[in-house]
Amino acid sequence: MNRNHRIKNILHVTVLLVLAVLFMFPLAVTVTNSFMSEQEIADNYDPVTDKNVSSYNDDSANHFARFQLIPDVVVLKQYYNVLIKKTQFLFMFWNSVLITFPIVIGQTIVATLAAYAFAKLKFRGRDFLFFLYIIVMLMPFQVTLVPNYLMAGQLGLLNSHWSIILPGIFSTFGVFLLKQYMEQIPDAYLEAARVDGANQLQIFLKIILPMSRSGIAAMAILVFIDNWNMVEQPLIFLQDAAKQPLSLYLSRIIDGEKGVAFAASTLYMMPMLLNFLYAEKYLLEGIRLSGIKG
Amino acid sequence: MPNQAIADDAQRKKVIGKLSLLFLMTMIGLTFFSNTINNFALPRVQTVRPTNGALIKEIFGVGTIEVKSNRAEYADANLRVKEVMVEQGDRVSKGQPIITLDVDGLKSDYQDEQVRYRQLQLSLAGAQAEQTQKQRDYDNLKYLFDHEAETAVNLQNAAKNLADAQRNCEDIQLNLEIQARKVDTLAKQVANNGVYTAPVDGMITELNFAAGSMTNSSLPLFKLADLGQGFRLIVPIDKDWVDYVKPGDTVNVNILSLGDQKTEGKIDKIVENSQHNGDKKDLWIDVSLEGLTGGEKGEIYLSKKTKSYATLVPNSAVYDDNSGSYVFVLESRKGPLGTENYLQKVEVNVEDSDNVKSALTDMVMGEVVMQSSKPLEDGNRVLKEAAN
Repeated sequence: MNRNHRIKNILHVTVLLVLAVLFMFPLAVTVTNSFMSEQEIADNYDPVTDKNVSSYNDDSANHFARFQLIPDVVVLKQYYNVLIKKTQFLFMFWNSVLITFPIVIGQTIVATLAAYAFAKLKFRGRDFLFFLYIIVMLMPFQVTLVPNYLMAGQLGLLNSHWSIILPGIFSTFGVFLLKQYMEQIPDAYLEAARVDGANQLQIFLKIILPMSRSGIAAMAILVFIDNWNMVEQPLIFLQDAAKQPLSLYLSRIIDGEKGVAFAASTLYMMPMLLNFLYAEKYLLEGIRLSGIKG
Repeated sequence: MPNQAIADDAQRKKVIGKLSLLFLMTMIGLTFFSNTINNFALPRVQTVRPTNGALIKEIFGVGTIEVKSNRAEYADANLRVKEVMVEQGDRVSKGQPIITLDVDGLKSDYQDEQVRYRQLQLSLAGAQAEQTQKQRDYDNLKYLFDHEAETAVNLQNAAKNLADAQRNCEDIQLNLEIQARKVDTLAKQVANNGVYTAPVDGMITELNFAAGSMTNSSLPLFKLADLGQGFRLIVPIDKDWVDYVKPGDTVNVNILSLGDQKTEGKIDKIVENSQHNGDKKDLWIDVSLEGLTGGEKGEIYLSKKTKSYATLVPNSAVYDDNSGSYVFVLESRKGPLGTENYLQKVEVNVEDSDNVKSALTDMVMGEVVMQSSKPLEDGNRVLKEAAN
């Protein structure tokens, strides 16, 4: 029995290791390639990215990209290009910050209050209202795009960060996630508080919020990742390139600047990575308890 | 154990928190200093706005002073040189003896020629008398013929005799003129006893015979620069510059051989340069300055305004490559961190230029780069500096 258990464990670990390597490989390639020179990157990837190369080169061996993890010579030129030479990256980084942080803060406030109401307050039409929330959440982004665009136009918000921030703050995802989480909190805590004379605000602040910390952290991280990565909204709502966030920068890197792509990608994922590592425990706990994954 | 896990988690959060802060601070720092760091590496350029106006053509040239008029004296016969009284380069005054030829042998020739002249005179007198007689004969016969007392044949013979007499008379007349000149020449040579003098005040520029040698009528005995007629500076210039000068223009002249003495000259004429036919022209400039003798080196400077052009840029702003001329126009773009300047290559045609500016046929909007700290390329980002 013990022996079988050990073999099972080894198999599990092996499978997990293989999967981990598979998932980690693109990340590792991105990070290590960011220290390669422009020429080295061109040598590795031109066979698949440069049309001129593949069109005249009949050597089929040269039609595949070469994934190289260790740079021939470690250089910081790409980072110099991204962070100093092309100031656009920095500007778009701050655009991302200006868009993402208000959404995270706003949605956290709105979602905790709304989720509390849906989870713990009893009022008429509550379930129907929540049903509408679910319907909206289930709608693909593309369906709500046109109404959102028209409304932003009516409010004079087009080409402004508010055209993205406001819909982001009132997104239904956070409400749904936190409602699921708050429903796990036993009503007995709330009853006891009421017996002790606590009002709704006190119950929310003193009992619900502390007990929902993991869920709120999980929601904040997921909302942060979701909005840090958004592409469609800024592409449609922000015509002015000077207002667009970093997520659009990578899509704009032209062929001649392939080297910049890896450094930009590495820097791009840093905030998400740090965020995840900081609140990893909350994220996992929140997802586990709410039964939702991002 | 749970306490240990909590402590580890807190420690991890602390480290990640510090890393996050470091990342944020780095991004803030780079945002603030990126322009400054970047500007160290950017080419620094000085720009100028195209102007309109005329170009100033400055013409420089070096040439040699020559006298305007030269006199040459030839000997009419091959004679022995008795004496040469001057040397080449000597200044002489009008009437001053230059060279003496041995004319003793010429004296008897002179007398013979005089006699021959006299003989021709006598012959002419006889021929004229005969012509008068023949004329009279013809008139008589004509009268008779008109009254039908003479034949036509006799009249024709008389006319022929008259024509012969006239021809003979004319022939002797011509010989007499030739002889008269011969006698005159010999008379002159003999009269001066073979001494040749300076016809005008001037300077001996050429002496072809030494004492004791025989003269040759194809070579002048001497050449004399006529100082009274003045001097000219002959300066070869590129034919492209000829459009900007014309006879009558005043030119600043610097005579190098006379300690850089400065004077003004006037362009007399513009002629083809004999050595660089087609490529160069010679300016003949009248100059007048005390001490000139001819042969001095002189340089000229002349500045002229051209017609007005709409687009003038400094010569340093115009670049050339295989496809032609181009300028870099500064394009200011509003960048994420302030105004950024980029270069735009604009192809142009240079219509004309002087030593400082070029006239373009194309309108160029904006500022053009006239100086750069590094080689430039189309699309380069640059840092604009104030012109000195």
